[in-house]
Amino acid sequence: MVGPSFQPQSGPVLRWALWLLAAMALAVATMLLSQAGALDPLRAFSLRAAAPAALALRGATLDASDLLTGLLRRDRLLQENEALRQQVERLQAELARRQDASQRLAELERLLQLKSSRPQEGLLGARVLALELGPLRQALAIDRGSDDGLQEGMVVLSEGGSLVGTVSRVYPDHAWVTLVTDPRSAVNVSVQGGQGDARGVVTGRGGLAPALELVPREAAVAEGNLVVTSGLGGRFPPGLLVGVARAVRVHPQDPFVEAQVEPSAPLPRLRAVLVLTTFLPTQLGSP
Amino acid sequence: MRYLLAAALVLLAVLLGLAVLPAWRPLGVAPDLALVLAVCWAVVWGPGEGLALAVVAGLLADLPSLRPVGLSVLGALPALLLAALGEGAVVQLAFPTALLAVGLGTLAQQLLFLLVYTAMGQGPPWGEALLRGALPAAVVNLLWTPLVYLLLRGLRALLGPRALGPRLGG
Repeated sequence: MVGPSFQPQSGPVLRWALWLLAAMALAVATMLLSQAGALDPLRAFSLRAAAPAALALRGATLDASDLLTGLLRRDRLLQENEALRQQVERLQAELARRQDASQRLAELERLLQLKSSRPQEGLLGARVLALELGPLRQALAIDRGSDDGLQEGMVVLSEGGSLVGTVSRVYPDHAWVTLVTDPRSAVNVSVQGGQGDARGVVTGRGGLAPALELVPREAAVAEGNLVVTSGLGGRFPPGLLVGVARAVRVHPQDPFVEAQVEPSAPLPRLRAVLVLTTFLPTQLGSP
Repeated sequence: MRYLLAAALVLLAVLLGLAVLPAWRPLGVAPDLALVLAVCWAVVWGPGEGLALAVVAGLLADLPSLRPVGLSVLGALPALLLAALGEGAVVQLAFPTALLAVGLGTLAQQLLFLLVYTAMGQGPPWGEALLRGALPAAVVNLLWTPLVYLLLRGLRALLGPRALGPRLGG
């Protein structure tokens, strides 16, 4: 029987070790260059060059996936369709009431000469060019950049209006958006349907559902409660839908609720997003 | 012919990783197809070619991303080293070697990523990143390994054995 053999020979081993060292040196050198920004033009070119093929491939696979899902879950989809139709009707009625309230609020703000809590929304559509959804980074690239007026910190929404993230790096013709699921992301939120001071923070956890933290247990957060931006901190306008509270747990010794947030925006399947160009984050000074 | 095939597979892996695979993430992470491809290529056609493929695929994958360019190359080296150490037993232990190299190599890769991001001041909490990021990444990459390995073995049967390259075994 022939077993595993390991017969090192100095020539090939040395040559292999040299190749390995060369690859390591190349990797470190390019990392340093890219961190210094020297490779930015090449990066922009590669994203532009890859975009047509990547978009076509992405569109085709998502369409195929949707078709397959539709075929396999026809009955369930019909039920969902009916439930959604009823929900749309309820929401339209709710929208009408809110629009009325919103008009009254705007009128009061104008009369009291307050800074508008909800600036006139200027939305700029953008296509998603690339996704990076690793455990350490959660971001996507869009085909709008500083040439289109984008700036770092601008808020990015899904086509349905849910929070996607913020613009974190801007190039002339494209930009990177850090998602709410990124481990470095933290969004001040309030939980609708909770009691009292139901405010907290949604923090990203890479590939996992973001965590809802620092919400007092007295807030009585329940599964299905809507989580929206609170506007605290000035990085996001208030009232943007972040997601839905899930896996809510209350521990006897813990003053805070433990919960997850299921993002409302379909982050891995986004094809296009909207950039809120009229809202810029407030830079808060020290008290 | 083999090099054209390698180039096509690298491009496909990079494009899939850029646009398609992030939408399907069992365990919350997308597979690193470029790494799996490089390791399986190293096992099937020799570590020298696997290393070259890892360098090209890593650079191409990093360019249109937020990662520092070259990080994927650096991250692939431990897996390639493991694949090279199993070089002596191509026939009997090639597939277990690929699995071992992909599994342990992915863990080492994620550890390297964490180190680099921490050095850049962008590191997430280590415990959670290792438990919820590195381990699932290793499992997902392992799940893709048989598919890629079998594909390459099939192509090798069609194209013939590997050429001489840097190798450890006698």
